[in-house]
Amino acid sequence: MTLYDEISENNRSTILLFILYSLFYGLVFFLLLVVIGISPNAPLFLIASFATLVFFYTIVFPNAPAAILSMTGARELRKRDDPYLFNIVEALAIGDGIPMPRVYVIESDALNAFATGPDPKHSLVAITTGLRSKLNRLELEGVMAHEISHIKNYDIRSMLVASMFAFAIALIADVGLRSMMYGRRDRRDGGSGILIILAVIGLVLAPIISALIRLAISRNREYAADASGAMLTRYPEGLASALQKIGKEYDKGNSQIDGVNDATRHLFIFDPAKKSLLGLLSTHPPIEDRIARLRRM
Amino acid sequence: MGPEIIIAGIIAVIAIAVVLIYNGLISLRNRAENAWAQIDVQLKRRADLIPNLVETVKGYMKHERGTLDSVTQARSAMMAAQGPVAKAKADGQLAGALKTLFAVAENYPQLKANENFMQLQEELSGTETKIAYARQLYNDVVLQFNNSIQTVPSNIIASLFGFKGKEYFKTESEAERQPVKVKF
Repeated sequence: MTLYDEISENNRSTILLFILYSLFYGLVFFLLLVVIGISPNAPLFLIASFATLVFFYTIVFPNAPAAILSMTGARELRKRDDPYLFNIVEALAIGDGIPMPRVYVIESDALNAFATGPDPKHSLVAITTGLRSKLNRLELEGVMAHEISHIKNYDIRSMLVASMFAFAIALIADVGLRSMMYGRRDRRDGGSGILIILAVIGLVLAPIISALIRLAISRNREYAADASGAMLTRYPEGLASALQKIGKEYDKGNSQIDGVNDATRHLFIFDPAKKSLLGLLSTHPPIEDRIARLRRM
Repeated sequence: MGPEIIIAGIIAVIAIAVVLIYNGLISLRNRAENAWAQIDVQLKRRADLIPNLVETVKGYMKHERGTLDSVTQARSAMMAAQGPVAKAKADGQLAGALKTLFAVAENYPQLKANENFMQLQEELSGTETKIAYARQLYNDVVLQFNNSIQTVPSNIIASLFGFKGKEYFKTESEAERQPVKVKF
Protein backbone atom coordinates (compact mmCIF):
# COMPACT_ATOMS: atom_id res chain seq x y z
CA MET A 1 0.00 0.00 0.00
CA THR A 2 1.07 3.58 -0.50
CA LEU A 3 2.86 5.57 2.18
CA TYR A 4 -0.19 7.74 2.78
CA ASP A 5 -2.40 4.68 3.39
CA GLU A 6 0.22 3.14 5.62
CA ILE A 7 0.37 6.27 7.77
CA SER A 8 -3.44 6.59 8.08
CA GLU A 9 -3.78 2.95 9.03
CA ASN A 10 -1.13 3.27 11.71
CA ASN A 11 -2.87 6.28 13.24
CA ARG A 12 -6.22 4.48 13.19
CA SER A 13 -4.68 1.49 14.98
CA THR A 14 -3.21 3.75 17.64
CA ILE A 15 -6.58 5.36 18.33
CA LEU A 16 -8.27 1.95 18.53
CA LEU A 17 -5.63 0.66 20.92
CA PHE A 18 -6.05 3.68 23.19
CA ILE A 19 -9.82 3.26 23.19
CA LEU A 20 -9.29 -0.39 24.11
CA TYR A 21 -6.92 0.68 26.87
CA SER A 22 -9.44 3.18 28.29
CA LEU A 23 -12.18 0.56 28.30
CA PHE A 24 -9.83 -1.87 30.00
CA TYR A 25 -9.03 0.79 32.62
CA GLY A 26 -12.75 1.12 33.29
CA LEU A 27 -13.14 -2.65 33.48
CA VAL A 28 -10.35 -2.99 36.00
CA PHE A 29 -11.88 -0.27 38.14
CA PHE A 30 -15.18 -2.14 37.97
CA LEU A 31 -13.44 -5.32 39.14
CA LEU A 32 -12.05 -3.36 42.05
CA LEU A 33 -15.55 -2.33 43.06
CA VAL A 34 -16.71 -5.94 42.81
CA VAL A 35 -13.96 -6.97 45.16
CA ILE A 36 -14.06 -4.21 47.74
CA GLY A 37 -17.71 -3.36 47.43
CA ILE A 38 -19.20 0.03 46.69
CA SER A 39 -17.35 1.59 49.55
CA PRO A 40 -17.22 5.34 50.05
CA ASN A 41 -13.50 5.05 49.38
CA ALA A 42 -14.00 4.03 45.75
CA PRO A 43 -14.03 7.53 44.25
CA LEU A 44 -10.97 8.23 46.37
CA PHE A 45 -9.06 5.48 44.58
CA LEU A 46 -10.03 6.88 41.22
CA ILE A 47 -8.89 10.35 42.24
CA ALA A 48 -5.67 8.98 43.70
CA SER A 49 -4.86 7.12 40.50
CA PHE A 50 -5.57 10.24 38.44
CA ALA A 51 -3.40 12.28 40.77
CA THR A 52 -0.44 10.02 40.10
CA LEU A 53 -1.09 10.42 36.36
CA VAL A 54 -1.02 14.20 36.69
CA PHE A 55 2.18 13.96 38.71
CA PHE A 56 3.81 11.87 36.01
CA TYR A 57 2.69 14.13 33.22
CA THR A 58 3.67 17.44 34.73
CA ILE A 59 6.75 16.60 36.78
CA VAL A 60 8.34 13.34 35.71
CA PHE A 61 7.76 13.70 31.97
CA PRO A 62 9.60 16.98 31.31
CA ASN A 63 12.61 15.75 33.27
CA ALA A 64 12.73 12.33 31.67
CA PRO A 65 15.21 13.31 28.93
CA ALA A 66 17.75 14.47 31.50
CA ALA A 67 17.36 11.20 33.38
CA ILE A 68 17.84 8.96 30.37
CA LEU A 69 20.82 11.01 29.20
CA SER A 70 22.66 10.54 32.47
CA MET A 71 21.71 6.86 32.60
CA THR A 72 23.24 6.18 29.21
CA GLY A 73 26.15 8.56 29.59
CA ALA A 74 25.28 10.52 26.48
CA ARG A 75 27.11 13.76 25.68
CA GLU A 76 25.82 16.62 23.61
CA LEU A 77 27.22 17.17 20.15
CA ARG A 78 28.22 20.61 18.92
CA LYS A 79 28.08 21.31 15.23
CA ARG A 80 31.87 21.40 14.96
CA ASP A 81 32.15 17.94 16.58
CA ASP A 82 30.34 16.28 13.72
CA PRO A 83 29.04 18.70 11.07
CA TYR A 84 28.06 15.81 8.82
CA LEU A 85 25.60 14.32 11.34
CA PHE A 86 24.52 17.74 12.56
CA ASN A 87 23.63 18.83 9.03
CA ILE A 88 21.63 15.66 8.45
CA VAL A 89 19.53 16.18 11.60
CA GLU A 90 19.04 19.86 10.79
CA ALA A 91 17.95 19.08 7.23
CA LEU A 92 15.40 16.48 8.38
CA ALA A 93 13.96 18.85 11.00
CA ILE A 94 13.54 21.43 8.25
CA GLY A 95 11.79 18.82 6.13
CA ASP A 96 9.32 18.05 8.92
CA GLY A 97 8.83 21.68 9.86
CA ILE A 98 9.90 21.24 13.48
CA PRO A 99 12.66 22.98 15.46
CA MET A 100 15.94 21.11 15.31
CA PRO A 101 16.33 18.68 18.22
CA ARG A 102 19.56 18.63 20.25
CA VAL A 103 21.94 15.90 19.17
CA TYR A 104 23.65 13.51 21.58
CA VAL A 105 26.20 10.76 21.22
CA ILE A 106 26.52 7.56 23.29
CA GLU A 107 29.89 5.86 23.49
CA SER A 108 28.99 2.30 22.63
CA ASP A 109 29.68 -0.38 20.06
CA ALA A 110 26.00 -1.28 20.07
CA LEU A 111 24.09 -0.10 17.01
CA ASN A 112 21.20 2.00 18.27
CA ALA A 113 19.60 5.42 18.41
CA PHE A 114 16.72 7.06 20.24
CA ALA A 115 14.66 10.22 20.50
CA THR A 116 12.98 11.69 23.54
CA GLY A 117 11.37 14.87 24.80
CA PRO A 118 7.89 16.08 25.78
CA ASP A 119 7.33 18.04 22.56
CA PRO A 120 9.19 19.11 19.40
CA LYS A 121 10.50 22.28 21.03
CA HIS A 122 12.20 20.38 23.84
CA SER A 123 13.44 17.21 22.25
CA LEU A 124 16.66 15.44 21.43
CA VAL A 125 18.02 12.61 19.35
CA ALA A 126 20.88 10.35 20.36
CA ILE A 127 22.99 7.85 18.44
CA THR A 128 25.66 5.39 19.49
CA THR A 129 29.18 5.84 18.17
CA GLY A 130 28.89 2.30 16.87
CA LEU A 131 25.89 3.08 14.67
CA ARG A 132 27.32 6.42 13.57
CA SER A 133 30.41 4.75 12.18
CA LYS A 134 28.69 1.83 10.47
CA LEU A 135 26.06 3.67 8.42
CA ASN A 136 26.41 5.57 5.17
CA ARG A 137 24.64 8.86 4.46
CA LEU A 138 21.37 7.40 3.19
CA GLU A 139 21.13 4.94 6.07
CA LEU A 140 21.92 7.67 8.64
CA GLU A 141 19.22 9.84 7.09
CA GLY A 142 16.79 6.92 7.31
CA VAL A 143 17.51 6.28 10.99
CA MET A 144 17.41 9.96 11.94
CA ALA A 145 14.21 10.46 9.94
CA HIS A 146 12.64 7.64 11.97
CA GLU A 147 13.68 9.31 15.21
CA ILE A 148 12.54 12.74 14.10
CA SER A 149 9.20 11.24 13.12
CA HIS A 150 8.79 10.00 16.69
CA ILE A 151 9.24 13.59 17.83
CA LYS A 152 6.93 15.06 15.22
CA ASN A 153 4.22 12.48 15.91
CA TYR A 154 4.40 13.15 19.66
CA ASP A 155 5.04 9.41 20.14
CA ILE A 156 6.99 9.99 23.32
CA ARG A 157 3.95 11.67 24.82
CA SER A 158 1.64 8.87 23.59
CA MET A 159 3.85 6.25 25.16
CA LEU A 160 3.91 8.23 28.40
CA VAL A 161 0.11 8.30 28.46
CA ALA A 162 0.14 4.55 27.85
CA SER A 163 2.61 4.10 30.72
CA MET A 164 0.39 6.20 32.95
CA PHE A 165 -2.55 3.94 32.13
CA ALA A 166 -0.39 0.93 32.94
CA PHE A 167 0.68 2.44 36.23
CA ALA A 168 -2.86 3.38 37.25
CA ILE A 169 -4.16 -0.07 36.33
CA ALA A 170 -1.39 -1.73 38.32
CA LEU A 171 -2.20 0.52 41.26
CA ILE A 172 -5.89 -0.30 41.19
CA ALA A 173 -5.23 -4.01 40.81
CA ASP A 174 -2.83 -3.86 43.73
CA VAL A 175 -5.34 -2.08 45.95
CA GLY A 176 -8.01 -4.61 45.07
CA LEU A 177 -5.81 -7.60 45.79
CA ARG A 178 -4.49 -6.18 49.04
CA SER A 179 -7.95 -5.49 50.37
CA MET A 180 -8.82 -9.11 49.52
CA MET A 181 -5.90 -10.23 51.63
CA TYR A 182 -6.73 -8.03 54.60
CA GLY A 183 -10.47 -8.65 54.31
CA ARG A 184 -11.56 -5.01 54.32
CA ARG A 185 -14.66 -5.52 52.34
CA ASP A 186 -18.15 -4.42 52.97
CA ARG A 187 -19.85 -7.76 52.46
CA ARG A 188 -23.22 -6.24 51.97
CA ASP A 189 -22.34 -4.19 48.91
CA GLY A 190 -19.77 -6.40 47.25
CA GLY A 191 -20.38 -9.09 44.69
CA SER A 192 -21.27 -12.70 45.45
CA GLY A 193 -18.63 -15.40 46.01
CA ILE A 194 -18.12 -16.54 42.39
CA LEU A 195 -18.07 -12.99 41.13
CA ILE A 196 -15.41 -12.07 43.62
CA ILE A 197 -13.21 -14.99 42.62
CA LEU A 198 -13.52 -14.02 38.97
CA ALA A 199 -12.79 -10.40 39.83
CA VAL A 200 -9.68 -11.40 41.74
CA ILE A 201 -8.45 -13.47 38.81
CA GLY A 202 -9.14 -10.44 36.63
CA LEU A 203 -7.13 -8.18 38.93
CA VAL A 204 -4.22 -10.60 38.94
CA LEU A 205 -4.22 -10.74 35.16
CA ALA A 206 -4.80 -7.01 34.78
CA PRO A 207 -1.17 -5.87 34.86
CA ILE A 208 -0.22 -8.56 32.35
CA ILE A 209 -2.98 -7.66 29.90
CA SER A 210 -2.18 -4.00 30.45
CA ALA A 211 1.46 -4.63 29.55
CA LEU A 212 0.41 -6.45 26.38
CA ILE A 213 -1.76 -3.53 25.29
CA ARG A 214 1.00 -1.05 26.05
CA LEU A 215 3.52 -3.07 24.05
CA ALA A 216 1.07 -3.33 21.16
CA ILE A 217 0.80 0.47 21.13
CA SER A 218 4.59 0.74 21.20
CA ARG A 219 4.98 -1.60 18.20
CA ASN A 220 2.29 0.28 16.35
CA ARG A 221 4.07 3.60 16.85
CA GLU A 222 7.30 2.03 15.61
CA TYR A 223 5.66 1.06 12.32
CA ALA A 224 4.25 4.59 12.16
CA ALA A 225 7.68 6.14 12.67
CA ASP A 226 9.12 3.88 9.96
CA ALA A 227 6.42 5.05 7.54
CA SER A 228 6.67 8.74 8.49
CA GLY A 229 10.44 8.61 8.23
CA ALA A 230 10.24 7.01 4.80
CA MET A 231 7.78 9.72 3.76
CA LEU A 232 10.18 12.40 4.95
CA THR A 233 13.22 11.08 3.10
CA ARG A 234 11.15 9.78 0.17
CA TYR A 235 13.60 6.87 0.31
CA PRO A 236 12.43 3.89 2.41
CA GLU A 237 15.46 1.83 1.38
CA GLY A 238 17.72 4.02 3.54
CA LEU A 239 16.11 2.90 6.77
CA ALA A 240 15.58 -0.65 5.45
CA SER A 241 19.29 -0.96 4.75
CA ALA A 242 20.18 0.46 8.17
CA LEU A 243 17.82 -1.95 9.93
CA GLN A 244 19.39 -4.80 8.04
CA LYS A 245 22.82 -3.84 9.31
CA ILE A 246 21.50 -3.44 12.87
CA GLY A 247 19.76 -6.81 12.72
CA LYS A 248 22.90 -8.56 11.52
CA GLU A 249 24.95 -7.10 14.36
CA TYR A 250 22.28 -7.98 16.89
CA ASP A 251 22.38 -11.62 15.85
CA LYS A 252 26.06 -11.54 16.72
CA GLY A 253 25.07 -10.32 20.19
CA ASN A 254 26.30 -6.77 19.89
CA SER A 255 23.37 -4.70 20.99
CA GLN A 256 23.53 -4.27 24.73
CA ILE A 257 23.66 -0.71 25.97
CA ASP A 258 24.22 0.33 29.56
CA GLY A 259 21.52 2.22 31.34
CA VAL A 260 18.61 0.69 29.48
CA ASN A 261 15.67 -0.60 31.46
CA ASP A 262 12.01 -1.33 30.89
CA ALA A 263 11.07 2.30 31.10
CA THR A 264 13.37 3.35 28.30
CA ARG A 265 13.45 0.35 25.96
CA HIS A 266 10.72 1.62 23.74
CA LEU A 267 12.55 4.82 22.89
CA PHE A 268 15.27 3.10 20.88
CA ILE A 269 15.11 2.28 17.20
CA PHE A 270 15.75 -1.37 17.95
CA ASP A 271 14.71 -3.16 21.14
CA PRO A 272 17.95 -3.16 23.14
CA ALA A 273 16.75 -5.73 25.66
CA LYS A 274 17.73 -9.34 25.39
CA LYS A 275 15.63 -11.29 22.91
CA SER A 276 12.36 -12.26 24.55
CA LEU A 277 10.64 -15.56 23.94
CA LEU A 278 7.39 -14.17 22.62
CA GLY A 279 7.08 -11.41 20.07
CA LEU A 280 4.32 -10.00 22.30
CA LEU A 281 6.82 -8.87 24.90
CA SER A 282 8.83 -6.79 22.48
CA THR A 283 8.50 -3.02 22.28
CA HIS A 284 9.42 -3.16 18.60
CA PRO A 285 8.07 -5.19 15.71
CA PRO A 286 10.36 -7.88 14.32
CA ILE A 287 13.12 -6.40 12.17
CA GLU A 288 12.43 -8.61 9.15
CA ASP A 289 8.85 -7.39 9.19
CA ARG A 290 9.88 -3.73 9.33
CA ILE A 291 12.33 -4.18 6.48
CA ALA A 292 9.71 -5.98 4.38
CA ARG A 293 7.17 -3.21 4.93
CA LEU A 294 9.68 -0.53 4.00
CA ARG A 295 10.70 -2.34 0.84
CA ARG A 296 7.06 -2.67 -0.19
CA MET A 297 6.47 1.10 -0.04
CA MET B 1 -39.65 24.80 18.49
CA GLY B 2 -40.73 27.44 16.04
CA PRO B 3 -39.25 27.78 12.56
CA GLU B 4 -37.30 30.88 13.68
CA ILE B 5 -35.23 28.82 16.10
CA ILE B 6 -34.44 26.22 13.45
CA ILE B 7 -33.34 28.90 10.99
CA ALA B 8 -31.25 30.58 13.68
CA GLY B 9 -29.67 27.20 14.42
CA ILE B 10 -28.81 26.60 10.77
CA ILE B 11 -27.28 30.07 10.45
CA ALA B 12 -25.23 29.48 13.59
CA VAL B 13 -23.90 26.19 12.25
CA ILE B 14 -23.01 27.76 8.91
CA ALA B 15 -21.31 30.68 10.65
CA ILE B 16 -19.22 28.35 12.76
CA ALA B 17 -18.29 26.30 9.69
CA VAL B 18 -17.22 29.45 7.84
CA VAL B 19 -15.06 30.54 10.75
CA LEU B 20 -13.41 27.13 11.05
CA ILE B 21 -12.73 26.88 7.32
CA TYR B 22 -11.43 30.45 7.14
CA ASN B 23 -9.08 29.87 10.08
CA GLY B 24 -7.91 26.65 8.51
CA LEU B 25 -7.07 28.47 5.27
CA ILE B 26 -5.20 31.20 7.13
CA SER B 27 -3.26 28.54 9.02
CA LEU B 28 -2.28 26.72 5.83
CA ARG B 29 -1.31 29.90 4.05
CA ASN B 30 0.89 30.93 6.97
CA ARG B 31 2.53 27.52 7.00
CA ALA B 32 3.25 27.88 3.29
CA GLU B 33 4.77 31.33 3.79
CA ASN B 34 6.82 30.06 6.69
CA ALA B 35 8.05 27.12 4.61
CA TRP B 36 9.00 29.54 1.83
CA ALA B 37 10.93 31.68 4.29
CA GLN B 38 12.83 28.55 5.33
CA ILE B 39 13.93 27.98 1.73
CA ASP B 40 15.11 31.57 1.58
CA VAL B 41 17.16 31.12 4.74
CA GLN B 42 19.01 28.16 3.23
CA LEU B 43 19.45 29.81 -0.17
CA LYS B 44 21.02 32.81 1.55
CA ARG B 45 23.27 30.52 3.55
CA ARG B 46 24.53 28.91 0.37
CA ALA B 47 25.02 32.29 -1.27
CA ASP B 48 27.06 33.44 1.74
CA LEU B 49 29.37 30.42 1.52
CA ILE B 50 30.25 30.99 -2.11
CA PRO B 51 32.63 33.99 -1.94
CA ASN B 52 34.75 32.07 0.58
CA LEU B 53 34.71 29.04 -1.72
CA VAL B 54 35.77 31.05 -4.76
CA GLU B 55 38.63 32.64 -2.79
CA THR B 56 39.88 29.26 -1.54
CA VAL B 57 39.72 27.70 -4.97
CA LYS B 58 41.16 30.58 -6.99
CA GLY B 59 44.75 29.96 -5.94
CA TYR B 60 44.66 26.30 -6.94
CA MET B 61 42.52 26.38 -10.05
CA LYS B 62 44.31 29.18 -11.90
CA HIS B 63 43.24 28.01 -15.35
CA GLU B 64 39.61 27.40 -14.57
CA ARG B 65 38.46 30.99 -14.84
CA GLY B 66 35.35 30.01 -16.76
CA THR B 67 34.10 27.62 -14.09
CA LEU B 68 34.67 30.16 -11.30
CA ASP B 69 32.97 32.91 -13.27
CA SER B 70 29.83 30.86 -13.92
CA VAL B 71 29.56 30.20 -10.19
CA THR B 72 29.89 33.89 -9.36
CA GLN B 73 27.43 34.88 -12.07
CA ALA B 74 24.92 32.22 -11.01
CA ARG B 75 25.18 33.51 -7.45
CA SER B 76 24.36 37.06 -8.53
CA ALA B 77 21.42 35.79 -10.56
CA MET B 78 20.21 33.86 -7.50
CA MET B 79 20.32 36.96 -5.29
CA ALA B 80 18.42 39.01 -7.84
CA ALA B 81 15.64 36.49 -8.46
CA GLN B 82 12.14 37.11 -7.12
CA GLY B 83 9.31 34.65 -6.57
CA PRO B 84 9.22 30.84 -6.63
CA VAL B 85 9.54 30.36 -10.38
CA ALA B 86 12.51 32.70 -10.88
CA LYS B 87 14.21 31.46 -7.73
CA ALA B 88 13.79 27.84 -8.75
CA LYS B 89 15.41 28.60 -12.11
CA ALA B 90 18.30 30.51 -10.53
CA ASP B 91 18.69 27.77 -7.91
CA GLY B 92 19.02 25.18 -10.64
CA GLN B 93 21.61 27.28 -12.45
CA LEU B 94 23.68 27.80 -9.30
CA ALA B 95 23.48 24.17 -8.26
CA GLY B 96 24.68 23.16 -11.72
CA ALA B 97 27.58 25.62 -11.62
CA LEU B 98 28.65 24.34 -8.21
CA LYS B 99 28.41 20.75 -9.37
CA THR B 100 30.76 21.56 -12.25
CA LEU B 101 33.17 23.34 -9.93
CA PHE B 102 33.41 20.38 -7.57
CA ALA B 103 33.79 17.97 -10.47
CA VAL B 104 36.68 20.05 -11.81
CA ALA B 105 38.19 20.21 -8.32
CA GLU B 106 38.63 16.44 -8.51
CA ASN B 107 41.64 17.07 -10.76
CA TYR B 108 43.42 19.13 -8.11
CA PRO B 109 44.51 16.79 -5.28
CA GLN B 110 46.18 19.60 -3.34
CA LEU B 111 42.96 21.58 -3.35
CA LYS B 112 41.01 18.54 -2.26
CA ALA B 113 43.30 18.10 0.73
CA ASN B 114 42.92 21.73 1.82
CA GLU B 115 41.19 21.92 5.24
CA ASN B 116 39.18 24.97 4.38
CA PHE B 117 38.04 23.48 1.10
CA MET B 118 36.92 20.27 2.78
CA GLN B 119 34.92 22.19 5.40
CA LEU B 120 33.32 24.35 2.73
CA GLN B 121 32.49 21.27 0.70
CA GLU B 122 30.70 19.67 3.66
CA GLU B 123 28.92 22.94 4.49
CA LEU B 124 27.77 23.44 0.93
CA SER B 125 26.71 19.82 0.65
CA GLY B 126 24.80 20.13 3.93
CA THR B 127 23.16 23.32 2.74
CA GLU B 128 22.13 21.70 -0.56
CA THR B 129 20.44 18.95 1.45
CA LYS B 130 18.67 21.52 3.58
CA ILE B 131 17.51 23.41 0.50
CA ALA B 132 16.14 20.14 -0.86
CA TYR B 133 14.23 19.40 2.34
CA ALA B 134 12.99 22.97 2.66
CA ARG B 135 11.67 22.75 -0.90
CA GLN B 136 10.05 19.42 -0.14
CA LEU B 137 8.29 20.83 2.92
CA TYR B 138 7.22 23.91 0.97
CA ASN B 139 5.77 21.76 -1.82
CA ASP B 140 4.02 19.47 0.68
CA VAL B 141 2.44 22.44 2.44
CA VAL B 142 1.49 24.11 -0.86
CA LEU B 143 -0.21 20.87 -1.88
CA GLN B 144 -2.31 20.98 1.29
CA PHE B 145 -3.12 24.66 0.78
CA ASN B 146 -4.00 24.28 -2.90
CA ASN B 147 -6.18 21.26 -2.08
CA SER B 148 -8.11 23.36 0.43
CA ILE B 149 -8.52 26.18 -2.04
CA GLN B 150 -9.87 23.88 -4.70
CA THR B 151 -12.03 21.36 -2.89
CA VAL B 152 -15.62 21.88 -1.84
CA PRO B 153 -16.67 23.48 0.51
CA SER B 154 -13.49 25.38 1.40
CA ASN B 155 -13.15 26.66 -2.18
CA ILE B 156 -16.25 28.79 -1.62
CA ILE B 157 -14.75 30.47 1.42
CA ALA B 158 -11.41 30.76 -0.36
CA SER B 159 -12.80 32.70 -3.32
CA LEU B 160 -15.01 34.79 -1.01
CA PHE B 161 -12.00 36.00 0.94
CA GLY B 162 -9.56 36.13 -1.94
CA PHE B 163 -7.21 33.24 -1.11
CA LYS B 164 -4.98 32.48 -4.10
CA GLY B 165 -3.28 29.19 -4.82
CA LYS B 166 0.50 29.04 -4.61
CA GLU B 167 3.09 27.84 -7.11
CA TYR B 168 5.27 24.84 -6.48
CA PHE B 169 9.04 25.17 -6.31
CA LYS B 170 9.84 23.15 -9.42
CA THR B 171 13.18 22.00 -10.76
CA GLU B 172 13.95 23.80 -13.98
CA SER B 173 17.51 23.04 -14.98
CA GLU B 174 18.52 19.99 -16.95
CA ALA B 175 21.61 19.53 -14.83
CA GLU B 176 19.48 19.06 -11.75
CA ARG B 177 17.33 16.45 -13.43
CA GLN B 178 20.26 14.16 -14.10
CA PRO B 179 20.16 11.10 -11.85
CA VAL B 180 22.56 11.26 -8.93
CA LYS B 181 25.07 8.47 -8.84
CA VAL B 182 25.27 7.03 -5.36
CA LYS B 183 28.37 5.19 -4.21
CA PHE B 184 28.40 3.32 -0.92
